Amino acid sequence: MPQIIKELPSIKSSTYPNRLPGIHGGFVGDKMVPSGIPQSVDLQSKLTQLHIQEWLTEDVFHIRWWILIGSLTVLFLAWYLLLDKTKKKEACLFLVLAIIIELGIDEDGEELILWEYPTDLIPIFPPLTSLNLISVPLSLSIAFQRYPDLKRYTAAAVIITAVISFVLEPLLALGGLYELVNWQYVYSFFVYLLIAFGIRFAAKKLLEIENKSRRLGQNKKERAEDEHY
Amino acid sequence: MAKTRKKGQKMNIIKVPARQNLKDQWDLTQTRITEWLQSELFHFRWWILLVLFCITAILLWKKAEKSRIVELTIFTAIIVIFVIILDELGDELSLWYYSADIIPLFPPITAINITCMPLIYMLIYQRFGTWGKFIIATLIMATVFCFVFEPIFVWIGIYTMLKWKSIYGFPIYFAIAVAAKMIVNAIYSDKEKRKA
Repeated sequence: MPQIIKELPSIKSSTYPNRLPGIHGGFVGDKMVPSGIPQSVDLQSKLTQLHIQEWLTEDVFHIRWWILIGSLTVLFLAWYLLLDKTKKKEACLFLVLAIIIELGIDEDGEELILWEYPTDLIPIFPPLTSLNLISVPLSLSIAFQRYPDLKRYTAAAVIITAVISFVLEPLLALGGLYELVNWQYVYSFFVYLLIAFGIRFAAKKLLEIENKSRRLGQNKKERAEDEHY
Repeated sequence: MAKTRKKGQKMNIIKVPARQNLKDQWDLTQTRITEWLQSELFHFRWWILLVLFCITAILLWKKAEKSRIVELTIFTAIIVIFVIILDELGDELSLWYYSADIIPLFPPITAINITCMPLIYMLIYQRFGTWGKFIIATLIMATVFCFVFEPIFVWIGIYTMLKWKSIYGFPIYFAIAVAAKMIVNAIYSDKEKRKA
C-alpha cells in the first residue's frame, strides 16, 4: 500500500498561489488538459486525489472505519425496526425531503470548512461518514410518523436534536470521527430544529393537499353516481 | 493536536487550520466563488438558468396531480437525491464540469438538477402507470437527454465533458428512474396487498 502512495505526486496548495481563474491549461488527474478549463476543476481534481490518498493510508480498514460501518448499519437497522410499517408513506415522505436538505447542509458545510470528518467511510460523495447528519432525517422521520400532533412532536424533536447535537456530536468528536472547524454544537442544534419543523410543515401540507383533493374527487364521483341512478 | 490557525485570505470569518485537506478545500471553495463572481453571476447563461429554474419549479407544482401528490413527491425527491449524488460524484472525480450555476456551492447546476430533470421524470411517472409503458417512455427520455439535451448544453457552453461520453449516461438516466419507481412501489406495497 505505501508504495502506491509514494508514486503519487505530493500536493501542496502553495503551488497554487492566488492565480487568476480563467483560461489556462492544467492537470486533471495525471492527464494534461487543454487550456480553457477553469482553475477550480484543477483544484477539485487535486483535492479528490488527496482525499483518496488519505483514505487509503489512514482510514480504510482502520478500527474507526469499522466503527463507522457498524454504526451506520445499526442506524439503518434501528430505523427499519422502529418504522411503523402501516404508515410507511408518511415516514418516507419526511425522510426523502430531509435527506435532500441533509445532503446540501453536509456538503456545503464541508466546502465552507465549517466542520470536518477526519475519518471517511468512502473518500468521495455521498458523505456516509456524517453519522450526526444521517441520524437527523432517520430519527425525525420516525418521530413524525409516531406523533402526528404538534405538541408531542415538538417534545420529541427537541429531545432528538438536543441529543444529537449535545451528546452524539461531542462523542463523535471525542472518537475522532467529527471535528468542529468553524462551527459550534449550538449552531447544530438550531439547524436541526429548523429542519425538524420546516420538513414537518412541508410534509403535513402535502398530506393535507392530497387528502383534500381525494375527498373532492370522491364527492364528485358520488354526485355523478347519484345523478346516474 | 495543536492547531496553528491562520486567517482566511479573502474571508476573515473563516479560520483555516494548517492542514492540507482543509487548506485545499478552502482554496477550492474560494476559487469557485471567485470564478462564479467573475464569469457567471448576472451573465446571460446565469439568467437563462434562473428563468429555467423558476419556470420548471412552477410547472412541477402545477402539473402534479394533487390526489397523488405524496407519491409523486416521494418519487421526485428520490430522483433529486440520485441526481445530485451522481452529479457531485462526477464533479469530484473530474468526469465533467459545468461553467454556469445559480449558486457557486453545492448542489452543482442547481436548476437542471433540482427542477428540470425531476419535472420530466415526474411527468413520465405520473402519465405511465404500468411498467411496460414506463420503461418505453424512460428509454425515449434517456435517449433525448443523451443525444439532444447534452449536446445542446455542450454547445451553449454550460457543460464540458472531461473523461466522459454522453452514451455512458444513458444506462444511468434509465436506471435511476427504474430504481426510484421500485422504491416507491415498495413503500406502497403493503397498502395494495391489503386492498386486494
